[in-house]
Amino acid sequence: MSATATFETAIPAARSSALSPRGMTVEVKGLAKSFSKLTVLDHVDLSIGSGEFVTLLGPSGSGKTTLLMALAGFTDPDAGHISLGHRDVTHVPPERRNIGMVFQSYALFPHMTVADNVAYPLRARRVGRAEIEKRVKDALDRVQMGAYADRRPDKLSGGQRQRIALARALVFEPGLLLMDEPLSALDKSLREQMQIEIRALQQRLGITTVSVTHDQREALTMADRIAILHNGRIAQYGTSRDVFERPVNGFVASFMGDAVLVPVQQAGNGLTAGGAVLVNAPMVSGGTNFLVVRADSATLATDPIAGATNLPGTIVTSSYQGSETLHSVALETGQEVFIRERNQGSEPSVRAHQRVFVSIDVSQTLVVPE
Amino acid sequence: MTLITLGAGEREAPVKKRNFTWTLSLPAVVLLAVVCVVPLVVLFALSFVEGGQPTLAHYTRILTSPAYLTILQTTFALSVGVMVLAVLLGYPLCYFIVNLPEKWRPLALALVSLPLWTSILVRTFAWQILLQRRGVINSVLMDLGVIQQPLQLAFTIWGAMLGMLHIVLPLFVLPVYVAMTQINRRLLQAALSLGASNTRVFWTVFAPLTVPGVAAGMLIVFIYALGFYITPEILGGGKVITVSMKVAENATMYSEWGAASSLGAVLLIVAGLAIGLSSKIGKLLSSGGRK
Repeated sequence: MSATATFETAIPAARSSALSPRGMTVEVKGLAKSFSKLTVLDHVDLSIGSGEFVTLLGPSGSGKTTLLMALAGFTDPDAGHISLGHRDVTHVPPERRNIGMVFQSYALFPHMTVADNVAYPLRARRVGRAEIEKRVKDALDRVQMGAYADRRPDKLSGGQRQRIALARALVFEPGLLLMDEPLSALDKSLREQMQIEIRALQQRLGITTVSVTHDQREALTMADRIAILHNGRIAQYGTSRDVFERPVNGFVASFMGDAVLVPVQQAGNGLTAGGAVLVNAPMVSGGTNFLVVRADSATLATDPIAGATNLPGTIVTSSYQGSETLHSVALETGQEVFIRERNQGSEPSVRAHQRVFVSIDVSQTLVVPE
Repeated sequence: MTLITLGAGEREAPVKKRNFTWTLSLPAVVLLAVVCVVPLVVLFALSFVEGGQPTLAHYTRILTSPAYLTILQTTFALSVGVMVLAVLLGYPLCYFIVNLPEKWRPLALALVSLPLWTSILVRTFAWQILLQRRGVINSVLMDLGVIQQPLQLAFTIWGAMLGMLHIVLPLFVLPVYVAMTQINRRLLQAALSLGASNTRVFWTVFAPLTVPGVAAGMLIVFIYALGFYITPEILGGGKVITVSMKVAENATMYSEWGAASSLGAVLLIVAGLAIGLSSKIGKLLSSGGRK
C-alpha cells in the first residue's frame, strides 16, 4: 500500500480481495462503559473491515481491554451498539456471538487433554463425533501441534499453549477472532516468532481479528490498523505507518516512539522549540504544540546542520550498546532526549558535557498538538 | 597454574554446610510422639490383651457378634449418610456463596462456620429442643394443622443424622469454598466464548475443577462422622449405638480396655482405608492433569 493513501479508503479496499466468509465486519458505535464513577469507555466508535487485523493499543487503564471484553460479550456497555456483520450483538450473550477468543494466559482447561480442549467448542455445538475428530486433527495440524493431542496443558510450553489456544479459538470457524495480550506470557524471541506465525495464519484464513496489547512493537508488526486508546477514547485509528509517522497528538507520538515532546513557541513569523528555530515547520493549529524528538529520527552534530532544526544541548551520558551508542542530551528546556548513533568502528564523536546540537531533518520534523 | 587452582577448588567443594533448620520442628515432633504415637501404640497393644494374656478375642468378637456388627453397620451408615447429605446441601451452598457479591462473602462464610465456634453439646441440646415431641418443629406443624400427632423426630437415626450434619457442614463447605474460589474466572469465560451454555460450563468446567475440594470435604466429614459420640448419643436417644458410644461404654462402665481399644483400632483402620481410597481415586481422576 502506498504511504500517502488514507486508511479509510485504502485498507478495506486492499483487503477485500482476500475477503472470506470468516471475515466479519465489526461496527462499534458510541460505546460507553463506566465502573461506578470511573469512565472506562467514552463513546468509542470503531469500524473494522472484513479480514482486517486491528490492534487496540494503549497504556493500562486506557479502556482497551474493556473494549475487547465488550466485543466478546463479557462487558455489558452502558450505551452504544456493536454489530458483527450486519447483526446487532450489543445484548447477545458471549456464548451466542460465535467469536473465537484467545485469553491472556490462554485459559486452557487444565482437566482436559489438548484434543478435548480443541473439541470443546464443537461439542458445545453438538457436532458429530467423526466430524469433531477430523476438525480437531485439522486444527492441531494447522498450528503444528498434531503430535500433542493427548497431552495435558500443564505439560506444554508457553508457545505450545498459545498455539492450542489459537487452534481452539479457530476450530469452530468463528467470524471474528479476539486476542487479549496474546503474547505477554512469552519470552522475547518466542514472542517475535509467534507474532509472525499468528499474522500468517490470520491472513491465510482471512479472519477478522482484534487484539489488545500495550506493546507498540507488537502492534506495528501484526496489525493492519492500530487503534490507540487513551482515557477511554480512541486517540488515533490508522495504519501502523500513519500512527507512527503522523501521530495526531503528543500522547500518540510519545506512546508510539519513545519520543520527547519539546514545547513549541511562536516567535515572530516562525516557530521555535528548545532554543532552535524550526526549519520549514508544518502548519500547526493554536494551543500548545510540541516538537517530537525521537531517538531514531534525530542526529547528533557538533555544529548546526544547515537546513535542519538544530536544538542546542549538552551531552549527559553516552552508553556503548554494541552496534550503536545511546547518547543522552540535556536540552535548554531541561528535558533529556536520547539520540542513537550507529557505531562505525571509530571512537564516539562526542564526550560528556560537550555542547552539541540535536539535529532534526526537515522530513523528520513533526509538530503535534497537545 | 589453572590445574592447581582447580584441584584445590575441587577438594574444598565437598565440604557441605550443615543445615540445622530441621531442629526447629523438634518441639512439634516431640509433642506428636508423646501425645499421638505413644498412645496409638499402647492402644493397639491393649487390643491384643485379655486378662494379661495375648489374644485375638476382641477382634473375633467384633467380626462375629451380631450386636457388634449392627453397631459397625450403624456407624458406617450414619457416616456415609452424613457425608452424602453434606455434599447435597454443602455444594449448592458453596456455589451460592461464591456467587454472592464479593463484600457479602465473608459474612456468609462466617455464618456457615459459626457452628464451629459453638460447643457441640450446646448445639446438640438445641437440636433436641427443636426436634422433641413437644419441640418447636412439632408445635409449629401441629398449630398449622399439617400434622395431628407429633412426629417422632428426636431419638431416631434421622435425628442423629440431622444433628451430625449441622456440625460437619462447615467442615465440608470450607474446602469446597476454597476450591471454587480458586477456579480461574477466565476458564469459565473461555468456555462461554467457545459457545457453551451456562449449564454446560458448570458441568464440564466448573464442577470437574471442584472435584479435589469435594473429595477433601467428603473425606473430612466421613472421618469426623466415624468418631461421633455426643450428638448421636443424645439425639439417638439410646436407639442409635455407634462405635464410639460402645468404646465409651466398654472403657468407662466395664473397664474393658481391650474391647474398647480394639474398637478404636477398627475405626482407625476404616479411616485409614478411606484416606487411601480417596487419594487413589483422586490420582485416577486427575492423572496429573491439574495445575
